[in-house]
Amino acid sequence: MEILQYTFMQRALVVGLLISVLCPVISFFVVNRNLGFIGVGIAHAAFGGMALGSFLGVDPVSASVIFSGASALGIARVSRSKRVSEDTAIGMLFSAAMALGVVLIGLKKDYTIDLFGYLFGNILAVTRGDIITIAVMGTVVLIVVSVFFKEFLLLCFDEEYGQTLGLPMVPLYYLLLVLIAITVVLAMKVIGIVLVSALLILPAATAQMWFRDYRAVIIVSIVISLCTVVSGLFASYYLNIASGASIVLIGTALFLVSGFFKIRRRRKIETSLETGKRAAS
Amino acid sequence: MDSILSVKDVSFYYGDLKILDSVNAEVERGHVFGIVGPNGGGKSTLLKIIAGLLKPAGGSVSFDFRNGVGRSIGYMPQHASVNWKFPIKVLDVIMMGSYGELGLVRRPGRREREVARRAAERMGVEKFMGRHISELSGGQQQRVFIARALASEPELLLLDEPASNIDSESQDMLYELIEQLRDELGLTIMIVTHDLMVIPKICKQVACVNRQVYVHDRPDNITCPVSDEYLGDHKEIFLHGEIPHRVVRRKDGG
Repeated sequence: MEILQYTFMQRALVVGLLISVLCPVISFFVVNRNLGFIGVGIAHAAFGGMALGSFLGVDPVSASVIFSGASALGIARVSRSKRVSEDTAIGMLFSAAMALGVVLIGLKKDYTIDLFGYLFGNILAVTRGDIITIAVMGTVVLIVVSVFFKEFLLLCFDEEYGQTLGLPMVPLYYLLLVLIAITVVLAMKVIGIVLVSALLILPAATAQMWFRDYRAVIIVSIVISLCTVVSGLFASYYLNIASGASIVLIGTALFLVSGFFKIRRRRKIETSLETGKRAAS
Repeated sequence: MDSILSVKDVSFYYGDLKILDSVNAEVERGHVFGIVGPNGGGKSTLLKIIAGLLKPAGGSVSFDFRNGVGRSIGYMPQHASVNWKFPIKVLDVIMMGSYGELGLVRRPGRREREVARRAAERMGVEKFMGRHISELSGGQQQRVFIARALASEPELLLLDEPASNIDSESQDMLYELIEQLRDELGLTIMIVTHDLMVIPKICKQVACVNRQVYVHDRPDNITCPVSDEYLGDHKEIFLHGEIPHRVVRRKDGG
């Protein structure tokens, strides 16, 4: 294939494949712990972090991870204290972090940041260093998830019961938020800050329509994510559109088609049940 | 008395509202301890304090477990606080009971699977092991959550309104299972219930909770609202707290 000869496309595909494994695993917990909106907040905080890193002359990815991780913990702390509701905390942080990012980028004289690329994804921007960072940090995230997998299951299914077993459910919740923050930053180059939260929701939400066992949901989410990201990258190249937008639109289309067939199947079952009842009476 | 649990001067507040006031209770090992009282009286709060979910403002809760280390408590919450949409099979739900003993990081293996299977068999839910938890009836779900509590191999089992939201046939079956757990496994069981008829049948001690707690050792105290004398064809309404501890007896038709 012609496009695979281009180095930037090879890099984009490698990064795409890496985040296609990472995002659905995290997506499973985001969907089942109702963390979708927190995911959006964390993604926007990552933008502020990236701008701060760039302004201070430190690595923007590391700055983003620290800034968005700290923001996630802040949201969790504030919402758990019950003084401010969670969506209020996220709403405030979301806009404040974006505003900070815009101000800092504006203040920086040698303006070199590809703002549109960070916001909506740019496959041309993926560097060799990005691949290494995403591979290493993504592996770390997956190892941590695998180590605490049973605790995260409990966190999503019945946190209160976990507490009665003496497990540290609150620190585990914070840990999950930090893992989400890292995943958001890693996926930022390809998907973009504004759209990354979709990849934290769509794969598991689509798979969960059809499967009722967490193992199947996670495996199918990964398959869905791989199809979505790879086809999105190709669409981005051929149609010359932002990669994040094409990936998210394909993912959303998959979700809607899946939902359509699910509803049709349910109606079919209901109709056959009614027919059976009528025949019996 | 051979106590498995001692509650001493325990108080609890939600904000400024006093929910429990200097509660004292000794729970006898190997028996069923009933907890009754009006809604909002603090029954579930007391159970949550014992389960370690809530910290009391004052006082202490101490245990005397025979099986050495650990908390050895199995807890079944009221209207189980679970995410019903979570994609999980009944077997995996029951295995969660063993997570506490496994501690962080260690994963459930063959032993935990076997313990879960035995707990499921004991509660009569083994045929549902491959089903999703939300596909079961209310009574079956309650039995799954008791099986999960049993999978932690506890000495003390805390059941918060296990008979709520289930039909009377399932309730009878549930109470029989509770008696079996007491007799065959030697468990101490604390059960919060509104079903006064079942108290004299299965409980040795009864605590009436309404901010304060009155513990009755059945059948010694005949003023206890749940003594045999007050059951039968009569219904009881019992009032505590601001109003002196007493029983209001309402006869049929009168």
